[in-house]
Amino acid sequence: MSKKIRVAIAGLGNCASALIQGLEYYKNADENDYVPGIMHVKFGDYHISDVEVVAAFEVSTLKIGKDISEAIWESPNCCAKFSDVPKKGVEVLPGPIKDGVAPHMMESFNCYNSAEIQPADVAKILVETETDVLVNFLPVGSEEASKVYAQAALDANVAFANGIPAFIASDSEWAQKFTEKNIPVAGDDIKSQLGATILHRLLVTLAHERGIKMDETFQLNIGGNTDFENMKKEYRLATKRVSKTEAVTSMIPYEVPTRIGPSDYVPFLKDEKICYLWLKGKNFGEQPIKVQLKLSVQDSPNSAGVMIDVIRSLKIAKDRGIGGPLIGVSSYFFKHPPKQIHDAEAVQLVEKFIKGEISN
Amino acid sequence: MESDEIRIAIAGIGNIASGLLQGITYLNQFKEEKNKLLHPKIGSYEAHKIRIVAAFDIDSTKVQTDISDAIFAPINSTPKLFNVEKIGVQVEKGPVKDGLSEILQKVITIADVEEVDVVSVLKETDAEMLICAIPSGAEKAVEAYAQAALDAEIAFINCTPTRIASDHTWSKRYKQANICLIGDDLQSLAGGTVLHKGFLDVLKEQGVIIKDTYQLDVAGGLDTLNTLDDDRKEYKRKVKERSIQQSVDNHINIASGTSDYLEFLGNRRIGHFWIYGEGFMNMPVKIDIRLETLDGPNGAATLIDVIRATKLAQRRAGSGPISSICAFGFKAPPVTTNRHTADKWFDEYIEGKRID
Repeated sequence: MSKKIRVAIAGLGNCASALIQGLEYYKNADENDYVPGIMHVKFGDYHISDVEVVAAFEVSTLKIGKDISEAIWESPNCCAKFSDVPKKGVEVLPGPIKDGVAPHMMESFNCYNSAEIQPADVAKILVETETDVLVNFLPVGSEEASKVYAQAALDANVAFANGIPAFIASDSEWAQKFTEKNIPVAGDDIKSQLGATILHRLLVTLAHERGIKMDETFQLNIGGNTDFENMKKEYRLATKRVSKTEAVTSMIPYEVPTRIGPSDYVPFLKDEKICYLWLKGKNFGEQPIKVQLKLSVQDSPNSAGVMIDVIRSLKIAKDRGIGGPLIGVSSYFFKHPPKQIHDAEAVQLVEKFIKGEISN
Repeated sequence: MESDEIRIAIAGIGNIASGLLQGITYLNQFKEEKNKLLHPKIGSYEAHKIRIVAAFDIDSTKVQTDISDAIFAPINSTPKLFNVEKIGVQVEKGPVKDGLSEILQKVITIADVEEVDVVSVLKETDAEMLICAIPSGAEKAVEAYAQAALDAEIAFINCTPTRIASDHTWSKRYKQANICLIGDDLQSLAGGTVLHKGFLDVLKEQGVIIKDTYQLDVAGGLDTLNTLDDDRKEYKRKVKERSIQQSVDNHINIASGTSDYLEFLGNRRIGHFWIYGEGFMNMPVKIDIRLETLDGPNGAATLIDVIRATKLAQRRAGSGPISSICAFGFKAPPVTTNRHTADKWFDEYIEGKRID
């Protein structure tokens, strides 16, 4: 069992930037301290400093060929800079394009010309770099491209963390593939540390437990990064809507008129994400109760704070010889897991998993 | 003595029409309520004297029914705020043209009867003005109604964002025919746009430099469903953003418009506002607001003032676009100005101190 966790990243956007910065920012974190911004300084045997990025795949000509420590600052990335990142000696490689770049995103993503550049053989690179975990940070709607990376992980015997709502861990066929090869997979669609989804889930769960009959609820999200620009087109976000909506409606045992989704692209917000939550219901005597809430958060660090635990979960599973979808981990850390479990329960499952009290 | 009754025809029996008819009926019974209007009296005209004499729509659930029933057709989400008795005006089938977007086709069935000749109906009913309140984006249908009003030689009020009053060719034709033309894109009396402009005005007056702002709303009305269509959405958005940019001197980052259709909101519209500016010594100033209104009554409240002012303009033999009325009640008038000036123009026009 190696003490380091070797990670490859597909899609060097804002989420990757936040993750790579975070690895530097927290490398000296003391597990006995109260460290702001993370759930676990040590996750099982693994300290954050044990995670290292060994490979990265991109389609942007501004990023390909550069060291990851430089590529993460390239446009259109707009994640706040909260840590210096020294040169890592890891060069960004051209990844397969497939459906990763929507027509309206060609310019923003500075996509390479496939007549001039050959994409890297992902599985081969994963083997060569002795990668343990492949993290999928492609843009929402990259169904085919995600499958290419998932297949490469399978071929290279590498664990797969699926950050986006292309259904892999929650798809029975794909889950079966990972189970058969005894490779751990976690997904789908990363749930932010303290984001709209977990807040909304908490709110409706609380309302239900306290006997409130819900009449209607909405969750409107606006932002200015390429995630939001990408999702301007409805066809691009079909799975995103399902993922975000089910994450909330699965907490309520009856139907409630609900609207959830990315609502608008507001360029000047950059990486700031704003969420408006609304819940209307009836309490005792059917008297009205209304809750409105506004959340403002830096979008990308909010996801990296979770991915940093997902990566370590997958490595632990590998160390223990566990394959297939990680149930508790996927439910607590992702919006569209194979099995939806209330967060209060899922967090217990994660802790039990760390201690080895449950297998997955 | 000239009658102070105002005979109007209305195309599109949707939420605006519902708000208008309910509003007029309401004012007829509770005359003291007119004080909730911005202008209880405009010239000699009082709100309860507005009479709907003709109505046009294409929806099978509305055509050939009394307008008092048609306004409560299930597709209209303006709630029944007030009981409206039959007024003996039947909704006629107007021109369909491009009146139904792909999205609307899914929820509306076109009435299976002959389209009437709008001009004849307008003449027979002695209508004095035609109000166009059909779903936004139906450019050709709006133009058909604009042409009908011109042919019938009566004033035209365009509540949709299709460019008529702000279009050079149309305004010239109305001017040549000595007919009043009012529009475009009706502004709610106490709605998002007015409020947004108001905040920006005040901040500007107090020396705050606005940097960026958004005003994004969600609603459940049919018009919202319709504007989800990408092209129409972009168009409406530009109209709104231009109108807001007008309130400040410096170029600012603006995002303004309707984000999403939430069926369960019915006629409610919920808007979220954000304004960021810098004051003395670059002190940050932030405004964060939620606004909830009902579309139907909110639009009707403006329209009731616009209708009476238009009647006044007709009596004064106005022709073409009347700048003050357009700037007061619409988001995309031919001559744009800030909210404060628009209100002043409107009052001056009513008092006869302005010629247009």
